[in-house]
Amino acid sequence: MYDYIRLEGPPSSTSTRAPNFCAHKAREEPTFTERTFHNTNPKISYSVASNPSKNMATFELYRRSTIGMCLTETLDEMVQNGTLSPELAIQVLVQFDKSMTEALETQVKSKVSIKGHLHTYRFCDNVWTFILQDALFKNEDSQENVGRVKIVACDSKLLTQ
Amino acid sequence: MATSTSSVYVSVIEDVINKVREEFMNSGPGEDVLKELQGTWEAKMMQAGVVNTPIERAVASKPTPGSAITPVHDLNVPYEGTEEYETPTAEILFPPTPLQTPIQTPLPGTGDNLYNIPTGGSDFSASANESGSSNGGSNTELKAGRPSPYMQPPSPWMNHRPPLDVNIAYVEGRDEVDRGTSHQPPTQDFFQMNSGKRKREDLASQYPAGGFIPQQDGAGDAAPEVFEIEVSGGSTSIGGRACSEMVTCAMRSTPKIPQLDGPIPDPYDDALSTPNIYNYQGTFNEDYNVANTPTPNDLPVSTPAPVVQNDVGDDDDDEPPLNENDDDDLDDVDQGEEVNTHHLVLAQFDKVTRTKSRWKCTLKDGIMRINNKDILFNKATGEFDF
Repeated sequence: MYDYIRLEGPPSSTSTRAPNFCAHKAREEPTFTERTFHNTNPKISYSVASNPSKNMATFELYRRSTIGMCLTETLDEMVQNGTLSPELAIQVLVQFDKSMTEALETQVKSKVSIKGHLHTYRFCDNVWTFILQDALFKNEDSQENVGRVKIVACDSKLLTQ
Repeated sequence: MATSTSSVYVSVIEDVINKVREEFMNSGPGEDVLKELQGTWEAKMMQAGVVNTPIERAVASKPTPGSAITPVHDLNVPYEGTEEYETPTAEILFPPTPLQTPIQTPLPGTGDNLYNIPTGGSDFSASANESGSSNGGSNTELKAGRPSPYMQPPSPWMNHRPPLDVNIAYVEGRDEVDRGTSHQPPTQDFFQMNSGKRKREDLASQYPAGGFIPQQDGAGDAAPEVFEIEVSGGSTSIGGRACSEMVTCAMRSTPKIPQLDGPIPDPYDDALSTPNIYNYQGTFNEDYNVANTPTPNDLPVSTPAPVVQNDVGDDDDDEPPLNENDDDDLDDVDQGEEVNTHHLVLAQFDKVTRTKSRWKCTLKDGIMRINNKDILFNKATGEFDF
């Protein structure tokens, strides 16, 4: 239903699937939070959003982040209100994929080291998924201890192709 | 660290908004919707504690006009409109009937007539014979006399109309035609009446499928059947004229009765518009459904819309709480699936290697959500023991 909400899955183009937005259907459908938390595989989209000249692949991976979730919630509400068309909502999300990826490449310089016990590993559809136990995250400023953490990583080569 | 994350997020928001602005301006929603999007987005980010306070200033100005005003107006306007449409229709249907309170009373009278006719066929046939013998006048008297014993209010009201009916059928036809939209000579009235009868029969067949018509239908279906029976009785006893007069009388009475019935379905609409009353009269509706087949059509048609309205209306009223609830839901989900989702790292991998049970991976461009803090990294190295 909410194609733009579907953050994960095998690499495919978002434009190939016709989005089906319906306010009344949305109530029947599980909320996107349920969907996203149950899905495990990030999705890669090669769609061209607002800038056709910049034909660049984007990960929908980051939509699961806090900023992506906030945007998805906002778009979801606005689509249900009828203030926003579903197509435009998808365009906004695709633009977010690009902007977030670009910002991470250009603005972020920090490095992190991760150590822990690997509880589960999975490689599916070019996506690595690790579940760590008693993980230790170290960064220049601080370190964080986490009893259990999930790492979802897409293949960076897919973007540079 | 947190500040850098916040600043990156803010820059991403601005970048997205700026690059999507052209689409918003071209495709229709416009700048206001874009501002609403940005305001709501930033407000959610602040709620999540991911964006720092300095952005609040920019946020505070934007979301209030965007998120608060526009959704409220957008959602309220249609509801008020629908409610206004519903109530006026009920009120509009009331005026043609002189009294509102007697409206309910005459219906049982008509209902009794309807139900008595099939059960007590002997009585009715006798009345039909009498009417046939004494022309239309007695018939009208009978009609006037029936409701009076049941209830007082309907009797005066019915008496008002019968005098018009008691007059010559031609006069009646004129009156009715004048009341109706069409002006035609009395001689054609008979043809009209016949045609009108056929039309009503056709309508009666169509009513079950129709949505709004069934309200008229409830009366229309039952009434023609009753009066047809009368006509048959009259025709056997007297002749064509009596028949035609009977038909005219019947036809005149039928349009009046639906008006009587009309007001009663209206309370349904009122009740549907207001959920509290709806519960009360919901049972009443059910009884009505059992009695008349066309009414069920009314119910399914009318019920879904109010339900949707109520839902969305709740959304309107509870919009700020809803956001909180969403967060709570998220927290609940996190707590429920704390194992998997509470701490999350989203990144791209450059390389993943394994030597026996020792895994090494290099990640880049990642977003980590750990201990309720968002941490961004350009590169990350992982060493895991399996």
